[in-house]
Amino acid sequence: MEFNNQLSIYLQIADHVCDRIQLREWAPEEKIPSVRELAVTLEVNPNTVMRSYEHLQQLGVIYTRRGLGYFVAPDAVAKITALRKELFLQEELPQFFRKIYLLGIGLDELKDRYEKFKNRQAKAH
Amino acid sequence: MNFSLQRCIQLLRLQFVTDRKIYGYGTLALFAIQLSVLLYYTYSNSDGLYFDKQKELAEQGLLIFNFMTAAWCFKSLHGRSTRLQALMLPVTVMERLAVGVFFTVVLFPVVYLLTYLASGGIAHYIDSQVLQSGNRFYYFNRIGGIGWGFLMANLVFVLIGLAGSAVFRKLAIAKSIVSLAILFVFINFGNDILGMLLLDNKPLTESMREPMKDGRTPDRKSWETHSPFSSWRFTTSDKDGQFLRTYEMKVPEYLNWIENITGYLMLLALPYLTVLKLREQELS
Amino acid sequence: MVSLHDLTFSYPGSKPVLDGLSLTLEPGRIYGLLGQNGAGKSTLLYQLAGLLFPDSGTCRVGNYEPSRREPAFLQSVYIVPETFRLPDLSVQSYVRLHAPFYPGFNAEICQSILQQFLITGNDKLSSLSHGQQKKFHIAFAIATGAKLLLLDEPTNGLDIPSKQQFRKIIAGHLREDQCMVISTHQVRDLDSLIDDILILNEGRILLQAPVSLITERLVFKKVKSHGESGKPLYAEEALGGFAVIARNTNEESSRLDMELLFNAALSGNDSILPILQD
Repeated sequence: MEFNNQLSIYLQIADHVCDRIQLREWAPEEKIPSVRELAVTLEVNPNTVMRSYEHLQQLGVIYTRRGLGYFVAPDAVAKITALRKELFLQEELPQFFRKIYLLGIGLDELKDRYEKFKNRQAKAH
Repeated sequence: MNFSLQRCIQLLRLQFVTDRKIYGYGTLALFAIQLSVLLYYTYSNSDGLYFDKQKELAEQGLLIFNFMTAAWCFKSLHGRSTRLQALMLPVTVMERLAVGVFFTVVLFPVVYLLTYLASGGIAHYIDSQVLQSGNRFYYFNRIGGIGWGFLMANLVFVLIGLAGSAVFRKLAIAKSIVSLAILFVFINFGNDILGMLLLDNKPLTESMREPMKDGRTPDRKSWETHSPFSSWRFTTSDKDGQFLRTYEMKVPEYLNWIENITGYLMLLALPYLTVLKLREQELS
Repeated sequence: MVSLHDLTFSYPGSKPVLDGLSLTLEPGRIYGLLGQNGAGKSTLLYQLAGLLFPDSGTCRVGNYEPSRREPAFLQSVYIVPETFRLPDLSVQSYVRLHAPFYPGFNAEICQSILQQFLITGNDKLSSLSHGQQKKFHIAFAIATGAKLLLLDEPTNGLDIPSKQQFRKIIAGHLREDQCMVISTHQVRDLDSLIDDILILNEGRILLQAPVSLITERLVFKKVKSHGESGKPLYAEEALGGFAVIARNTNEESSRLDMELLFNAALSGNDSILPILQD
């Protein structure tokens, strides 16, 4: 995995895990890779993966069973979606607004484009 | 003390396998040198390769060979590229030394004897069968003849070689030879001075002054042999330096003691220096 | 696990390389030792390995004094120097001859790492490329199970896939009771592996801090103009703007830019280091 230069690595790893869960590659109640396994796959320090898992555990996305390892929480997908929505509204949307404001793009123009985009997505599925 | 025979054996195995090629080529070279020296004497002497000559060559060769292999002993600590790994190998100084001593005192001399049996055998065969000289073959078969002196000389050479190998890194063999020479010059110098002090302080006695039958009178005395030899001899000569009489003298008891103690201290100091230097090895 | 106190060392006839250096290292962590060329990174590693003796001050590794070089100490420390020459042996004979010196040697681990590095037992060490030799040496070092692993510029001479393998192997094999010190000036190869940063400058440890603490207190980002991030502590011109270090006041999460931090620390900037010290 290529890490970007902005976000701290442990959060990027947490993001990576969330992606796997959201994409249903790792199903709810399923065991996820151990700290060591994920560290090897991502070529990072196991202590960093440990930190990511602890972070995700605090958020309720994963949970630990003593001696067995880490498992995806039953409501993990819903939680991730909620978290990401919150993050988007808090961090990315203001930046997006700033840009369209600077470029003088009106909401009407965006609405048109958004409707077209939604249609394309619906067709694709 | 921390000494493990098992680690010694591991180190022995490691050195033997790692340097196997050097040992192989070294043995061949040794054989070639022995054979050429022996053949040289076979053809250059009118008596051919006579028994005492073989003995002399074989023993002197062993002495030199022992010295060189001793000075070469800690080779892995000499090279820039091998030094770090040699120092990081989990062995103690005593184990390293024990393995070095085993190589120089047991293994290499055996190799020398074997190559000598081959090279000496060939030379003897040529000498006796081709040149028909009728000499006997010397194969270290006169144990009594090897003698205490030869063994002591070997011991001293090996100890100096080992110390040289531990002290010097670059050109260890050459520097050990120079040290050996310096040590011997130094010892002889010391003995000369000691001898002079002893002899010059004593005037010629009445009996020494007694004229010879032909009328020449002894005028001065000078050493023929003194320490480190056990029997001291001096000679008297006349005004023109013509040699007149030889005297053998008994070494004063106290001097004997001093010499023996100095000698043994030197023998002990060499291994001590070796261990000390091996312990102090740093990378730089 | 490792503690150095007021350690001073100089090579004969030159000024001190290490000058009153103090340092404590804990097991279970990977330390990234950074420093300019000639700052004494290798010298420090040699001190820890007992290959050089301190002129003054104390050096302790575990329960040992490295300069005594007791076998038990040498079994618990392994150093992979930047350059070395391996003997004229096959891979398997090297392992067979050297492994018995290390009671904790794990032949399976050795085998599996060599396999990942695509090195086979019959390969002749002297005919391997420099990079392959380095990989072999690293594999052997890890398999010894040494408590303190010292790697001097381990990624020098490794190609890109090998660097990846190297990171995977380090991530997969460091145990809780092991401590690893990696000296490097190629920060980008290794920064995802490092727990703690050590910056060596002018004979002392200028900075020792866990990556997590650094990103807790400082934020690293790219900005278009100086004004954008308030008052940065340190800024460097970069593609498309500036790379800056600022105080982390709103619990922002950013990725530590080791190169930037290193440059900032060595620039004589006196506002950053106090923030990282307790």
